[in-house]
Formats: sequence, C-alpha cells, structure tokens
Amino acid sequence: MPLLAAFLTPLVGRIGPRVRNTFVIVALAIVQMLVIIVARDVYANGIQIYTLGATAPSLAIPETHMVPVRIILEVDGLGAFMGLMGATVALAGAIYSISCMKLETGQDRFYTLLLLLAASMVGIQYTGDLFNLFVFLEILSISGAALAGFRTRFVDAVEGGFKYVIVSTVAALLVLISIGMFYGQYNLLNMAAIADAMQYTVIDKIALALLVVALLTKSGAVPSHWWVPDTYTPAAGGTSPIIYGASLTCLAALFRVVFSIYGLKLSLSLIGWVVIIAGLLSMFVGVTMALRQTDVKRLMTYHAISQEGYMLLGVGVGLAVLGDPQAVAAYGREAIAGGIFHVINNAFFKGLLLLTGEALFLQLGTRDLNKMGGMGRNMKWTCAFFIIGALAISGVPPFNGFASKLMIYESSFQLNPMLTIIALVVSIMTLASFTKVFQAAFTGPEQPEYAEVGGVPLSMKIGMGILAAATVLFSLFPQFVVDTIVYPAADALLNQTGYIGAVMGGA
Amino acid sequence: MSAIVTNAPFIGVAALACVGLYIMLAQRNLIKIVMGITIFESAVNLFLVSLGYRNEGIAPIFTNATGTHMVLPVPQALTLTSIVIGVATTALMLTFIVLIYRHTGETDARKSRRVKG
Amino acid sequence: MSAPILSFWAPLVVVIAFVIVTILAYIYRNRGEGGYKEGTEQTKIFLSGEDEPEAGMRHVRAHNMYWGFFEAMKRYYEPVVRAHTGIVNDYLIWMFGLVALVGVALFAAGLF
Repeated sequence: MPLLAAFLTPLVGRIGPRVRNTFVIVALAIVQMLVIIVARDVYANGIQIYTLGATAPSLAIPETHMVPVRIILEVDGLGAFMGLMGATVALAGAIYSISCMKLETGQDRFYTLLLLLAASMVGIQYTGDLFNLFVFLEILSISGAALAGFRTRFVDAVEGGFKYVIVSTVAALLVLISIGMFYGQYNLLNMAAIADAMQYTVIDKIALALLVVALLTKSGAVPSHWWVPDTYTPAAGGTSPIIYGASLTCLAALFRVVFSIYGLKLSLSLIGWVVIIAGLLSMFVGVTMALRQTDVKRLMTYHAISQEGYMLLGVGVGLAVLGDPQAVAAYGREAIAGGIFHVINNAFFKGLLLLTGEALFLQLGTRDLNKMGGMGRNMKWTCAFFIIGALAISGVPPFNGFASKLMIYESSFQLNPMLTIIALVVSIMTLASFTKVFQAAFTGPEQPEYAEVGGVPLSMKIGMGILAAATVLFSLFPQFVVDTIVYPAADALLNQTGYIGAVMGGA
Repeated sequence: MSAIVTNAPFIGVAALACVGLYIMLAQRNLIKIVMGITIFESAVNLFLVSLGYRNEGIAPIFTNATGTHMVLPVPQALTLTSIVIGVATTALMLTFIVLIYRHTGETDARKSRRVKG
Repeated sequence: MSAPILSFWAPLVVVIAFVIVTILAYIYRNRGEGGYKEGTEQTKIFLSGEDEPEAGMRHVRAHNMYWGFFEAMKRYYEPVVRAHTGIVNDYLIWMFGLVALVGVALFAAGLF
C-alpha cells in the first residue's frame, strides 16, 4: 500500500499542494488501519502466511525441490508489533511535516521518499525471505539517506546523508555476503526453511558474525554508532522519528535473525553476551556523550543510541538464557518482553522529543542550546510535549518508559546484578541531560531576542500530539498493552518451531 | 591444481574484496571511498554468481535444456537485483559528494567534515 | 498470565496521588498572604540589595550546567570524545573490526 502511494504521489502533486498533502495523509491512515487489522488477525489466529503467486506454500514446490521457491510473507507477533509502530510513527511524522516543509522546494519528492521509507519499514517486518529483507534494507537506506540530506543548503545535512548511505551500503553488502553463504550451503532463501535445515557449521558462524554486526550497525549500537548523530540531527521536517523507526526496524530484524533462524543451535551464551555488552556500551557512551552536547537534536540522538542499549540489554539477557527452559520461564521471557516493549515506547517518546527539537529549530532558527532560553512562555504546547517525552524516556512513573525499564531491570538483575546497576545509573544520567535541555531552552527569564517568537503551527502540534497521546495511552494501561501486544511478540521470538512449522508444514 | 581451477572464482572474490576493503578503509578522498565500495560490491556479486555453478552446466534457459543440467538461475536473479541496487546507491553517494564539494570545497574525508563529537 | 511486577507501581495510583498532592498544595497556597501589590518592590527578585542583571546574563547557559561532572570525568571523556572524529573511514574501520572480533570470538567459543 505505501509503495503504491509512493509512486502515485508525484502525479498527484501536479494537481496542487493541498491535494497531495491530503493524499499522503489518507494513504498513511489507510496503512495504519490495515496494519491494525493484520495485527488483530495475527493475535487471534496465529502466524499468517501469504505466498506471492500461489495460494499456499506447498503448491509452489516444483518437481525437483523439496521447499517452496516463492517469496513468502510471514507475519507473526513480532512482525505485527513492529508494523504497528512503523505505521504510527510514519503517520505522525507526515502530519508534522506538512507545515514544516512549506518553505522547501521539491516537496513531491519529499513525500515520495517518506512513503518509500514507511513501506520499507513495514516490509522488513512482514517478510519471511532473507533476500527480500536485503532489498527492503536497501530501500530503507536509500530513502532514509535522501531524506536526511534533503535540505541541501545545510552542509551538515549533506554530510549526514552521505555518511548514512556509505555505512548503510557497506552493512547491506555484509548482509548480502551472509545471504550468499546461506544460499551456497542450503540452496534456500526462506528464513523458516533455513532454520529447519540449519547445521551450525563454520560458514554459518561467519555468516552469523556478519549479520549480527551489520544489523547492529544499521540500528546504531555502540561501537558502530558513529553515523547516528550525524544523520538524525539535520533530518528534514518530521522525518527524524521515521528514520529512527527505521533503525528500530533493523533492530527487530536482528532479533528475528538471531532467534528464528539460529534459535537453539547457537553458542548462545556468547552471542547473548555480545548483545548484552553492545547494549551496555551503547547505554553508557550514549548518555555520557549526550551530556556534552550543545545542539538540541544531537543530544536527543545520543539518547536514541542510549535507549537502543536498553533494548539490546533486555533481548540479550533473554538470548543468553535461551538454552535453559527454566531460566526462560523465570526471567528470560520477561527480559525479551521488556526489550520489545521498550522498542515501541521509544519509537513514541523519542519520536516526540525529536519533533520538539525540530520545532525549536524552526521557531528559533538555531539548534545551539547555548543561545536559547526562556521559551516556555512562548511555546507552551511544545513545552508540554517535551515534558511528557523527557519524563517518559527517563523512566519516571507513571509513564510507559518506567514500565518497560522495570521489566528490563527485574529480569537482568537475576542474570547479573551489575547490569541493573549500570542501567539505573544511565537512567539517572538521562534525566540529568534532559533537565539540562529543559532548563536551557524552556525555563529561565525571557530572552530579549526571542520575544516575538510564537508557537508552532497547528499540523506540527497534531503530529506531536499523536505521539504524545500514544505515549500517555501506553502509560496508563501498561498491563493491557504488554499482554496484548508485547507478550505475543516475545513468544513469537521464542517459539522457533512454530515459525518453521507454519511455513513448511502446511498451508 | 584442479582445486585452484575449481575455486578460481572464489579466489577472485577474495582478491577483489581485499582490494575494495583496503580502499574503503585507507583512502581519504571521498570519491575513492565510493570506488572502493563499488569494487567490494563487484566482489560480492561475483561471489553470488559463482555459487550457482554446476559442473558441465549450461545457461539456464528452459527451452535449451535437453538433459537436466543447468546452472542455478536463482543466484543470477539475486545478482541482478544487487547490481541494480548498487547503481542506485552509487548514484546517491556521488550526488552527496558533489554537494559536499559545493559546500566545503574539499573532497578529503578529514578536511570536509563539519560535524564531530 | 500477567506478571505481578507492575501492580505496585500501577500508573493510575501514581496519577491519583499526584492529583491529591496538587490539590493540597493549591489549598496551602490560597491560605497565604494576599495583600501584596504587583509591580512594586514587593514582587521584584531579591538579590541582597543589588540590582538584578539583564535577562541575557541571568540565564545559566547549557554547556555550563554540568561543569563539575565534566571535570570529574575528564579522564574518561578525553579518549571517547577524540574517538568521535567524523571521518567516514573510521566508521568503516570500527565496523570491520567488530566483524573480525565477533568472528574470532565465535570460533574460540566453539573450540572450548
């Protein structure tokens, strides 16, 4: 659906700007509804399979092969979950961009790229085929880089886009090498089929190393996080949250690969600890670098890295104990669920914070915190949204950040208390850095040079409001959200045999 | 001796990949970095195509097949897709380099950076 | 199947507590002094008798806020900030270095 809309957008754009904007919003709203419908279907009926070009996977088997040779789309708990996240973030970002991009030229191409990015986000999650994953990964890189470097009159935008495309291309090449290795060994591209036939040979280990590092780089974990601040900071309009959502999608692809393809045949404690260490480093380096920044959005992007660390920590703990069913039932499932819940929470409140940073930039013309002051009087809505986002990301109750962080703390404590201590310290430093931004930008006496600055336009408020409403909604009913959306996703990751059986065993 | 002959494509892949890797990591000129990425990409494409080779196989066109010995067609499809994607990303990278040059007047990776930390 | 971990910190409880405390604070505030005049000496900022500086100088700038923290952590910060160079080659070197490291670690783990 978004692909279709993406290609139609330039044509519709010739009619006029308002028609095009409405078209984009309607298309994304339809995507949102479709994703919700698919999600309910998955939660009610289990894993859904769709075979391109045949009615059931077993019909697509030619005589000499044992396995289906079509591209198979497979939606399970994790896919539905990430689809929900992607659609919401894309919708909010698009609405935000309407008034934000009025001054720019080439708006047709902007919305086309935005829709392509949304399409690739949903596509990565819904596919059951490794090469399809690679194709969508590349679409994501190209459209994300073009959106990041969209405002070519700023040199840091161009530089950010350039670094993103180089790092993404090399990471995608590494993924392609590992796909080639899988194909050379098993003659298969379907993820479930590879999982079925997997023996853990030397080449598989190399492929695992390549895949893990490439996907960690694409999602922005330390020590491959260097491109993240350069890219998210100058991203145009409301696309910072969408590019951030794209990185979260790559993170979910990493989980999908490690859990569903390799599953129990891994040397688990090693890969689990690699993920945990990456998570810890991300948290700590992200937050300490964030405290030093003077640029509003760059500070928030370092926070994005730090929060990725939480997600990696949660899922890494679950991964490290995967071979031990007792530990899994006790705290492994909790850890994975905490990590995944944190993914969607982060998409919402980090997206909200990035949008407020962009709002500050547009109203004041600068992102330098050393020059700002006293905007709380002029930009009341932005200030309110910022408070919601900052409290949520620091893990202050009653917000949803607290709920997911509590799940991560409780479960990682049982694996190793040091992890929880580091996580808590990082959480405090997160709050400290947001206090810094709040004090510098919003409170304080009114600065004489900013006396005439008004509030932000309405569509930007609506865009921020969608994400803020989602945050508040998730905060007030965490138990409901966790049971309905998060636990099925965690179970989908743990349940590798179910994943295989759904594709191979039957229709 | 025959081991080298049968593995010749893979040796070529390794050589190309090493060359591309060295260029990507060590050269400072931005355009040379893009060239290095392109060489690395060619290495990966060669790897994909040479995976599909079967002994005494012919080109995988169905109407030519008298026996059943064909080279595997799937990796050729993968490689085509990958080449197309490579063209698109190279175009994007070169566009960005042109824009960076317009802004900063430099094409050296060390001198043309404006953001750090 | 719901875990009991969230029942203690349930958000509705916190929100209700917040509302109650706000109401109490408001009641206390209303019982204070009401007889002051705006705009005179009574409502200006008190700085031990000195004049208040202009708005630009009064505001603590962002980078000066955490000076003590930065001084204390200087030994940690120096190499980390220097590592964030902004050069593309360094980004790629880190990525390939990680691949080598993880690969070696995987083989080492498999041997034991």
